[in-house]
Amino acid sequence: MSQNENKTVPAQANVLLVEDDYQLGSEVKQNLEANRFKVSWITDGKEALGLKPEDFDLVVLDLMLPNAHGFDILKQYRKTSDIPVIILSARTDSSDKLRGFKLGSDDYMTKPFWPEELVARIEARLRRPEIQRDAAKKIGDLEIFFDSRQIKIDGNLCELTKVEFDIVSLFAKKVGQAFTRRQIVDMVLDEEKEGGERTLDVHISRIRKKFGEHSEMIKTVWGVGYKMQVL
Amino acid sequence: MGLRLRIILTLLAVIIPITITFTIYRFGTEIRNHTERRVERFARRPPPRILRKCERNPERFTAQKNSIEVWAYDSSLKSKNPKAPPFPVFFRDVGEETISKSKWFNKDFIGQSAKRYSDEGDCAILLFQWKGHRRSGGVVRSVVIQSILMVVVLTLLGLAISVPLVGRIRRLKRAVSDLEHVGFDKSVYKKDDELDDLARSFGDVLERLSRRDDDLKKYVANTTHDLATPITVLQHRLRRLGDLELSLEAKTLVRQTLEESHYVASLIANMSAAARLDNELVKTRVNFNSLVERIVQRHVPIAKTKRISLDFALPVDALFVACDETLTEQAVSNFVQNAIQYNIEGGNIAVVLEEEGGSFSIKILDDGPGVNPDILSRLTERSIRSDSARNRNPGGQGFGLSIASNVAQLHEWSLSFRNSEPGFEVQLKGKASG
Repeated sequence: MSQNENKTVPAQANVLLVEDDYQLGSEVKQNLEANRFKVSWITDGKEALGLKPEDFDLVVLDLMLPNAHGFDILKQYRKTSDIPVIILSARTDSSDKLRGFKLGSDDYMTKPFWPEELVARIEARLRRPEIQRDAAKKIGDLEIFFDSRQIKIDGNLCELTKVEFDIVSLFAKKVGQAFTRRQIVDMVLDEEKEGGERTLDVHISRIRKKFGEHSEMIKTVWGVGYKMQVL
Repeated sequence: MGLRLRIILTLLAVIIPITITFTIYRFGTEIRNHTERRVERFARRPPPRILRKCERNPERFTAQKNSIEVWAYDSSLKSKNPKAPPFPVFFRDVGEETISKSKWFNKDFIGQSAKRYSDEGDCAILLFQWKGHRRSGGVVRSVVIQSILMVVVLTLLGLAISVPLVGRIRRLKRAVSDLEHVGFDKSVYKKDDELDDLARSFGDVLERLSRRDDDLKKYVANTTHDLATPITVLQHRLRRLGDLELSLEAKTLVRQTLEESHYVASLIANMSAAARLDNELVKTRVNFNSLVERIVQRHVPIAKTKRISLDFALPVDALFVACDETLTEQAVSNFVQNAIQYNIEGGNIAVVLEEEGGSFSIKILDDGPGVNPDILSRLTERSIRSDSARNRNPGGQGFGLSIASNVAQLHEWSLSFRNSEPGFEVQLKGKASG
């Protein structure tokens, strides 16, 4: 759901996969490679201890490994590096998870999982530090410039009112995530001047009109409100 | 009825009839002894007019004196008076000495005596029948007084027996009903009697059961652990299979198999959650925004195969809640899973996390067919232990919901269900940790 909108993941990110199960390891490797990652896959815990974490952008680490436990590998890597580590485990104990976080893991992926779930998590880890620096963002054919408060669609400037821009930029910050009507009204509209939830629908329909053939980017979400999606 | 009362009543029921019978027998004996002495005194020196009366008219002779009835017989033991009773065989060797015999089961008299006065004549032998004074008033009074005394004595005795006994049984009962919180310490029961034997063997059984319980939990944990990896492989392969050029029929089969594998995966997760519900919660400060996002992410693939749109909304600032992360994730996942499972193709589902005045609220809304109102009221009542429905359908809605409601209960969160016409709404509410 999120890989196609993402433009900030470094091209060809280097992922270290430590997984002793041959079947699972090969599936995960194939899946990550199909999503434009470079994957180094090792199956032995001792071998993992000998590697330098600085050579990679992210580690996907199984816990139950031959010759060394995943937690020991994590501890070792944390001595020299703050590389993102996603723990892969079938252990669903909360105390296990807690231990992982205390040792410095960034995320915990519980088996069984879907291929796209792992990709989404890896991308979220790699992207995280850049969120704050966004002065501009490209979402499909739409470009949004937060500082100059401008929006371009297919490279053409789209004239929006202040309220309309605020609504679009709110959506743009969390593409794919829905916002409740209440949330949008509270955060964007001055209720005394612009009215409440009913006026919101008017604003939305005006934005859609201005988006033209991209009007579908602003989607009505059943039961909630609205969200922005990539077409 | 308490044990104490039971012991006392048993004592009374057994001992009072015995006492009454005994008293009546004793009175009977006393009366007979007394009467026997009186009759023998009378027989030794009967009033001369009685003998004279007999000799005068033996055919009609009989006499009554102080409840003694007198009959006359000749030396061959026959009476001239046809009304006279036959002479008792027992007395046939009667001599100058009075002989007597008391009778217990004769309704006319309580005993008889006989004495020979001469060797010939119609009045050679006299038979005395004791009518006896039945001083029944005295017997009844005595029986009543003794019975009352017995009741008092036996009640005291019953209490003396039962109070320490019942006290120990009650202590044992308290220990048994508290064992879930404080455990059962069988070393307290040291006495060498049946009651402490019972307590000790109860303790043994308990130990065996809890060992078996632990083994079972370990087994479930290991099994679910071992299943997790192959199922992940299965899901990856099915996903790749679905990306190949396939006929429409094959695509449908892949889609259905994907759904099944997702279902199996959620079953396994529920099984391992169920095995851990009894353990203490491992509470940490959990980012609910990430939690909800993660849960939705996990279910988007399966929702897509049913063309269900699954959306979520989060508060702008991350919302933190102190909870057991794994159990909470499983609980919310179960609601989302149910919403997908019971919604129709092309339906909508939304997971909305909101913060309000220091509390969080997670709503799982769908526009599916909703839940039968009869079942609705019982959804939250289901507990993992008393749900007989789950035996018939171990992975069905009941199991997931009962785990979810157990998790909510353990965290002291409120859980509510309602039909929202159209659709169904689940709401989980609790304290946020700020």
